[in-house]
Amino acid sequence: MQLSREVIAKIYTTKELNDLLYQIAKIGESARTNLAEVNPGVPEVLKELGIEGNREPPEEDLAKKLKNLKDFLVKLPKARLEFAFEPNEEFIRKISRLLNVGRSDHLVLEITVKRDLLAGATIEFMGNFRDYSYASILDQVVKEKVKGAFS
Amino acid sequence: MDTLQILLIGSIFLNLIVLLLLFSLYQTQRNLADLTPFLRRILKLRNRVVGKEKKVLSEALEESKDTVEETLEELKSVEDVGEQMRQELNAKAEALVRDTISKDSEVFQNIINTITESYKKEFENLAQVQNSEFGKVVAGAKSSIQLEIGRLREELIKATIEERGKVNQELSSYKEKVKNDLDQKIFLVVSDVARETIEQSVDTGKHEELVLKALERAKNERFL
Repeated sequence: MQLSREVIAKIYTTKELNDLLYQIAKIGESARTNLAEVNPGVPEVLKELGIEGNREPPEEDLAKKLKNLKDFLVKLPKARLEFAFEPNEEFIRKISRLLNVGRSDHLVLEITVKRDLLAGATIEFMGNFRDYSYASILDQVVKEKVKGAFS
Repeated sequence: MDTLQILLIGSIFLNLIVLLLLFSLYQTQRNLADLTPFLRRILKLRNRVVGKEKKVLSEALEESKDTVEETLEELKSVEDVGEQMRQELNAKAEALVRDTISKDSEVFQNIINTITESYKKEFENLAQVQNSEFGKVVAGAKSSIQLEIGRLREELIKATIEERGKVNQELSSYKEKVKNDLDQKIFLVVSDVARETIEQSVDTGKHEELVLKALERAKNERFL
């Protein structure tokens, strides 16, 4: 599957990834229908694959392309991030770019909001977990203070 | 001489003997017949003697009766004498018996004394043996008891130490639990206050800054 980095870079989070997979599934179901009717805003990634407008490529060719694309997207590495606030699109793009700098593959982010973290972030990647939240720092500080006060 | 001749001679000899016997028997019967008158006289004489005998007997009986009565009278006097004698004899017998008993009692007492002394000695010996054996047993038991007491003391000390250790451990656990509970409560209070303070003091820009800082740290640690 050959997709340009510019196209892939637009898949910031699992939200974009899931939308794309959904559209791929829809296209597969209505291969001979007007794609514009299925998804008027056909993503650029589909355009790159020659799937755009009301063009109807041969059925076998389309199915093969869609399957390859789906396999490629599903296998993209994902990192689960927890923030204590709701990030905006701009900030998401910013951190996506930051985390993908120097990577040969493309890291897709799965972002959830957890107020208990107070600030900072937790990261889960490839089965490993790191806690960079201020809640953990606060716990540690308060425990030490309380322990020191009563010992 | 053949057998037949011997038998013939024997038979003749036997017949002669029989004839002699028969003749002898005949002679005897004839003599008895001659004695009959004599026997009759003897019978008469005898009857006369019997009569006299009866008379003599009757007279003898009369005499005897008198004699018996006299004898009875004499016997009566003799009985009185006998009673007296009997009493004397009784008294003597009693005295004799008493004396004998007394003597026997002495002998018996002596025997009893001897036996008692013997038993006393035996008992004394037995008591000595018992004392000796008891002493041995006591000595043995004493050492055994001392060992047992020592063992029990050690067990008691060990059990006490173990129990004290357990109690101390439980006490420590309890103290630790109470302390942890207290720490947790204090921690929650302080943490809540701190959270509220941080939430109020951290704006979006600061959040973004802290997140970027965390992600950069992760990248630097080559976690991502």
